[in-house]
Amino acid sequence: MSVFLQVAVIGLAKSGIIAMLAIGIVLIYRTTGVVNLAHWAMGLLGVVVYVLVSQSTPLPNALVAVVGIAAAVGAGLVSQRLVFSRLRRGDGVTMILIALGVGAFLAAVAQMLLRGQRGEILVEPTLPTGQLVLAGTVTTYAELITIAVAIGTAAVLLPWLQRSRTGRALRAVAQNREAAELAGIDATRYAELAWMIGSGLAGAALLLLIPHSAGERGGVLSVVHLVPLGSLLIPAFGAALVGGMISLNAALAGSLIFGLVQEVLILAPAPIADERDILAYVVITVLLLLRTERFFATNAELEALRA
Amino acid sequence: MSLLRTEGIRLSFGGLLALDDVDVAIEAGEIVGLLGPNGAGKSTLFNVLSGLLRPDAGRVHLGDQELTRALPYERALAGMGRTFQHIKLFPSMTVEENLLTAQHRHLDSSALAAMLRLPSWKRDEEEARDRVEAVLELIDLERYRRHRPGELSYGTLRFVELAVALSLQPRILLLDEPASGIAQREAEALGPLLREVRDVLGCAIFLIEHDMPLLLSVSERVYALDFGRIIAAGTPDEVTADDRVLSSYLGRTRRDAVAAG
Amino acid sequence: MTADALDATSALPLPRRLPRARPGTVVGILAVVAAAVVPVLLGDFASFVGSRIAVTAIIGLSVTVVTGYTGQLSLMPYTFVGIGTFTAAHAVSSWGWPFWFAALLAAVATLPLSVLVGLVSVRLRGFYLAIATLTFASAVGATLFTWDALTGGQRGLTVARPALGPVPVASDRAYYLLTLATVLLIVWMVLGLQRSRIGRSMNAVRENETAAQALGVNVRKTKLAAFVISGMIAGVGGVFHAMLLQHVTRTSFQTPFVETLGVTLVILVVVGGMRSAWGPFVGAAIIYVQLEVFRTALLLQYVLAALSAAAFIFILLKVPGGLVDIVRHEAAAVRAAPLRNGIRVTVVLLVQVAVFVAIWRWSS
Repeated sequence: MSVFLQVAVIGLAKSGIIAMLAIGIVLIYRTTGVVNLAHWAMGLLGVVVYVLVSQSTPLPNALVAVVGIAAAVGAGLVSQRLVFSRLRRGDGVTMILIALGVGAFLAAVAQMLLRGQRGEILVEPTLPTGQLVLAGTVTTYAELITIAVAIGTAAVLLPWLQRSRTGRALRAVAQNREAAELAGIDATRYAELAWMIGSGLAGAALLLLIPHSAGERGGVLSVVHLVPLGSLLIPAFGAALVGGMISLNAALAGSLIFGLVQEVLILAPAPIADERDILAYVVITVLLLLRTERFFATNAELEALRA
Repeated sequence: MSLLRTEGIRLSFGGLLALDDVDVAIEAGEIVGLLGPNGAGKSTLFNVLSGLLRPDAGRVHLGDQELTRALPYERALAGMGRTFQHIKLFPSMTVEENLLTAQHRHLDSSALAAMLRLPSWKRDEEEARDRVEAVLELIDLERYRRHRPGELSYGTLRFVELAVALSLQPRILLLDEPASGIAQREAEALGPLLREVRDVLGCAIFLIEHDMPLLLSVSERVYALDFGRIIAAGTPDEVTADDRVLSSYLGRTRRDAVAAG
Repeated sequence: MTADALDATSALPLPRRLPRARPGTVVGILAVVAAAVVPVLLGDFASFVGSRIAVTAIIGLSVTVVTGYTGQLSLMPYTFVGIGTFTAAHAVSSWGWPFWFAALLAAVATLPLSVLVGLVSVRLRGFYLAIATLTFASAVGATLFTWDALTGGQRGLTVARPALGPVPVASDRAYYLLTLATVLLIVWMVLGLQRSRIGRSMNAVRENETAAQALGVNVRKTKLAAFVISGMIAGVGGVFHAMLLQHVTRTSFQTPFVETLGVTLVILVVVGGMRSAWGPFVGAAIIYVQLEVFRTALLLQYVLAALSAAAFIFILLKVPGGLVDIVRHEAAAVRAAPLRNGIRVTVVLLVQVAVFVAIWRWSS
């Protein structure tokens, strides 16, 4: 039982990080129609700024983390202003290619900022290090805090997007840009807002991810994190696809599949436990082939996203 | 036996009956018009004929082939050419390349033959170019050969689209409003051109057109469609004298039209 | 608009004039001769870089066919390269197959996967297909490429450069000439493909599937053909990749590097010119020459990577034809007004060379 709990906590932490990435992907897609394959790189820029600032100033790490997240928000805003807002909607292939280009650009900038430090870079701990025993299970503070932050983010953000004026405006822009503008909603501003929220979440997700890589010593930024598509972007897209790239609630459920369920399956019989990654890829392919978006939006809304 | 026949085509969108028991028959080499007010189902019928929509009931035959379940490209290969109400050309290709694309039906050399420049590919390409050249000459578009669609006026594009459909060398050509959006002078030239096309290439033409004088002058027979039903068929004179056709154009409701008839 | 007005405008964007101008052919032949001679004269290292460019261009052509011509976004080119690489490594090193048979086997070995992805592409469009190919790249990396018998495990496999009949190609110079000849052959083949019914069908599918169908194009078969041809080209690229490095490990074909390599390749192809068979060659040459010149300055490498990503975005937004189109456009401008445009183009080129040399001197 305690083994199960231990695995479950690890899985939940992973789910939390995936969920924060997936919420950003969904928010940006349904507001602007852009499938943001640069999502990882936006967050990466935040982490790199965190690393640089924490190395060079005595500021408390929590404050530096806020600076890092602000950098990710800035990266999202600038990308939208300079690049994505100039795109003709509807040209899907060009749009994805450009997102890839922005990702590659940001990843290169991140490497540049690190002055080409190669191999593994030690990162100041973003979260308290250390372990604790809870209900007979060994967990780390990092895991518990990650879970708490993810739940907190979802608990604040989702109702806000559902009920607040801003949230309604974002949805209006998503469903019908022209009508929203006629109703006095500044679609450009809300598109930028979606990019800023999404990118900030990506920055927070990566800052939460790094501490898990080196335990006591803080965190390690390895080359796996520094590539434009990162290590968790594909599961995050998988989670977003569970909600057809439209539904935030379903994307959260998807995050549980690609985090919690996948980790817990390590306790399953051998073939399943060994091939968990493959199972995840099969699930993503099936989700793609199912065209999940039709369960969450009407045809008219989908047309609006593609047009 | 007619070249193109439909039997009892029926299609509804949701609760709306778009096509209701439509029977049309077009002979080889015939020019037939299809008239009807907006929303009568004319383009819907074309989309059923060319395979973009699948009817709920009914059958489509071309010659001795049944095409009811055939995919759009299979119908094109069987000899059914069409144009669209909104011009669909390939923007990055020149006019000549657009026409060459439509030569697909007459070519059979393999990808490997093209990659290795085998004689079968060379022969194919030469023949395709000759046929394209003949069509360009017929529609008088030779001087636009190397232009891309974006460089041409809308009126010219209508003729290019016609040429592309003809490059398929179809047995029957479905034209969806070929005169819409073009200048009066060009529209007047279209009638004689369509007859010439028919005489030279021998293909039948089935035509939707809002320009009544053009439609009536070029067609040998006319079908009138309203609320998804064929309400009249015959020579242009017979159809335009028909009460139901008149009333559908005078904007009366169908019930009035039936009562009056 | 009169015909005359149209003819006047057409001189600007340079549609391909039919009879190829003589100067172009001469320049082309000179360029090929220079490409063959210069690296060989410069020595082994330059020849190695030249081979790397040629191999990348071969692999890039697989992207040209499937994405540039057919408009299907595949981000898994290096998965097919990996299949070609490991197949060739076994065929040549373990079974002692002659070179060309190994290349053929590598091309055929990509078939099962390329057919699978081709079938998927019939159902999925745009970003759905892009994400599916990313997923496939990861999945193959986690299955096939973790199979030690195929990839040689952690240690990888050593691949000798075999002789071509009586001609040895073990030296970097000889190997360069072989890869250059091969990439030119494949460019020639892809050019032929483009001027055939299949090539035109691919373009038609990219631009408008409905219109393509109305003209008798079987969209499904065309997409399948694109993925199969693309996979075979990438497989052959894998053979040359293996023999270029002479030692291959699985790491570069596994997550997340296989996807990253795919992205880098797409960038290079687009910068060169996605719709032209010469595009990958131009893009690979520009990027690898710079990377090699600035090899010692690590920071500059990342600056270059950022610049090429920025160029990629600019080209997608403003000049979809890439460098190949820019060169064609300028060549036409020079032909139209030799003095004025000739001077302008020369000045721009000289400034670029000067900047390049200045950075090079500064960095070393």
